[in-house]
Amino acid sequence: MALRPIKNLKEFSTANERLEGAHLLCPGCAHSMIVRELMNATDDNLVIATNTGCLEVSTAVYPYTSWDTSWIHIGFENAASAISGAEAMYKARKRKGTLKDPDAPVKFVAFGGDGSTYDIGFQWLSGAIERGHDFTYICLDNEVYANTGGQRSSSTPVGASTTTAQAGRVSYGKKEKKKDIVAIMAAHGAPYVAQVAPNKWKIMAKVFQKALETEGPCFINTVSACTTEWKFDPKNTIEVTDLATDTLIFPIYEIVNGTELNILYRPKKVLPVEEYFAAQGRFKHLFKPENRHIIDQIQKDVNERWEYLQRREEARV
Amino acid sequence: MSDTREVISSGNELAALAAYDSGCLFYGGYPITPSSEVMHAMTDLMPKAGGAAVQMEDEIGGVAAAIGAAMAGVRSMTATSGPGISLKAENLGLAQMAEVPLVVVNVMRGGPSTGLPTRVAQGDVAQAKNPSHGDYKSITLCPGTLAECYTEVVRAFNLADRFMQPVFVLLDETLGHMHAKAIIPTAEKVKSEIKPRKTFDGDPKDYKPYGVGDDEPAILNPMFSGYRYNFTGLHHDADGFPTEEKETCRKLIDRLFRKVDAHRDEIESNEEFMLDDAEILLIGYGSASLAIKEAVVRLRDEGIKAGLFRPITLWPSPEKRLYELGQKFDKVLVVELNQGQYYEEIQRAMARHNIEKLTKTNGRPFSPQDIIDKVKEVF
Repeated sequence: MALRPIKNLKEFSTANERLEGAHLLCPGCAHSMIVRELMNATDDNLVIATNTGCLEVSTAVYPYTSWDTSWIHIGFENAASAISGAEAMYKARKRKGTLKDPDAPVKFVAFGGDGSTYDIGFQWLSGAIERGHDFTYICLDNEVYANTGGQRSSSTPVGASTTTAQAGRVSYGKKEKKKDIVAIMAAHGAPYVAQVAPNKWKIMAKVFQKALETEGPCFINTVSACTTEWKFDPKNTIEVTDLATDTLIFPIYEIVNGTELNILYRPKKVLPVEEYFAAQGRFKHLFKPENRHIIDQIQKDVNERWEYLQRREEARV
Repeated sequence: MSDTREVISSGNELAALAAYDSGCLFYGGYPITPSSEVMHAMTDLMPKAGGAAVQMEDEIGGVAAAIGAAMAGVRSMTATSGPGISLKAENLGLAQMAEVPLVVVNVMRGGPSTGLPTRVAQGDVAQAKNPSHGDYKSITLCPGTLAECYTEVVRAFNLADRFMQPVFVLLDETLGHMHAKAIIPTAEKVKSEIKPRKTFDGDPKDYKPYGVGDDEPAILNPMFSGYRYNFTGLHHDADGFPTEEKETCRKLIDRLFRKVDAHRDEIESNEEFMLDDAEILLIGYGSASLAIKEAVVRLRDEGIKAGLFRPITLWPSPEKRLYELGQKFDKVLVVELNQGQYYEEIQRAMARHNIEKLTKTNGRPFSPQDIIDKVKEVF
């Protein structure tokens, strides 16, 4: 696939903003970095649907909007469905020749948080990918229902404390494992699936570009550090994300056509997972002596997962 | 020893505490503003009670899990806000049809759709009457004070077990998030007044869960107790097995209505505030009634004799009492935080059209002055 050349840093920083900065996301929220980069990565027309969530409530507060595009806010679970309808009708009208400017390039994008992607919107996303609409779905994965008071989602990792999976005298927080959404989406046979993080912005921009250029449904899981619910100083968003990628808690990789796995970032020095945990309030109870074994177990799981990804990359299956 | 206690709490937390004190053992839910605090409190309380609170993957899962737990024989609850009820609607219809006792708390916010998540409304009153397709008779309670967020949830659990169907409790954003002192019954008092659902303890061969009198609710024995029956949302016979036999189908739906209609006296609950010598009748419910009461007092200071009628059970509506009041009062003003959802019911019950209304749908509560101004304007 021939990709159009990616914008360099200068072009990025001098291009017109497609997501205006004057929104109400928390200071330090990674959502805006990710969305902004996706939108700035292309000059094509964008049709965007957004599930209910932090991004939606914070970027279109009457009478203002941050979006320079067609923008659909739909229910909590249906961005993938709404974008399916928009894309299907666009194609139909293109076939019929009723579009005003049939050659104008258009890209369809849906955004959802992890709650609306891993949980309530899961079925609708699965359907849209199976039907094969030409769109890119971006999950802004902050591992918690940040918009409704910090409840656990099925993306919340083991050991994190949330309002509905609290750490305390008898519990170390969430006990259930995070869903492997990337594998699930790849198993749908989607032509392009990836996981990226905003600290590695060049990789992220390239992956976004590749997804937008790929015909068919693409799914990108993006790590979006949440200063409010992960409990770290808002100035440290990128540092915390660095720890996420360098401890391999969030490996950065892509899967093409469900089989071809490519690791896109290999940390020069892999850090122990506890450095990532130590940077966030939601994990602070893990450092109590009675919870140390949880850290050890997670380290073991992360090592095994990294080994698995490398073996899959090698095997090309 | 006193039967009451003083607490400082919020409406949402009191609803959860009431569930705990009523012997509720299961909560199935999903995060949604402005009701999430109910779930937060239940995740703390249910394990303490030896039960479980499960955060499900969506609203539909939340109510379906609560139905499953209710079938297992325990008191069960879900809480949400209007958009959540919209999603739960299908299963709420199932619970009406299969006669599953359940308490459903709806902390109302501005709608339709995502609406105004953090602001107050009373726009789900019509929805509570018929949230899903099909014919059945809703029981809907509407607390108007902080203390009633507790006592009405207690009453809801007893009514659910008595009538074997979901019982709605309509809170709203104002009451749910109001944090203040409330005087509520002691847990001992509540526990001593629990009326558990009926069970059948004869020979399992003779057990006919839906084979009951024509104004009686089903008798669903808890699972795991040696009694077997079929559970379905299809029209069903005395054993619970699907049927299309026309007399059985007719009787089933008639019974769903009659079990409520024939026992309205057990369900109805109203408050009459300064009504005896009043010349102007104000009608309102829920958090709006707080402003109305204040308006009544201030109007009386000015020599205008107003009074309040406040239905606490919204569905079935207190139609007899409304009719009497409609005959007695010329001047009637309905005050509600929607475009007149209950107003229409009051017109029907009073069998008259010349009723004034004051409505508001901008997410803000009424101030007493709004009501005073309206009274002076129209009367």
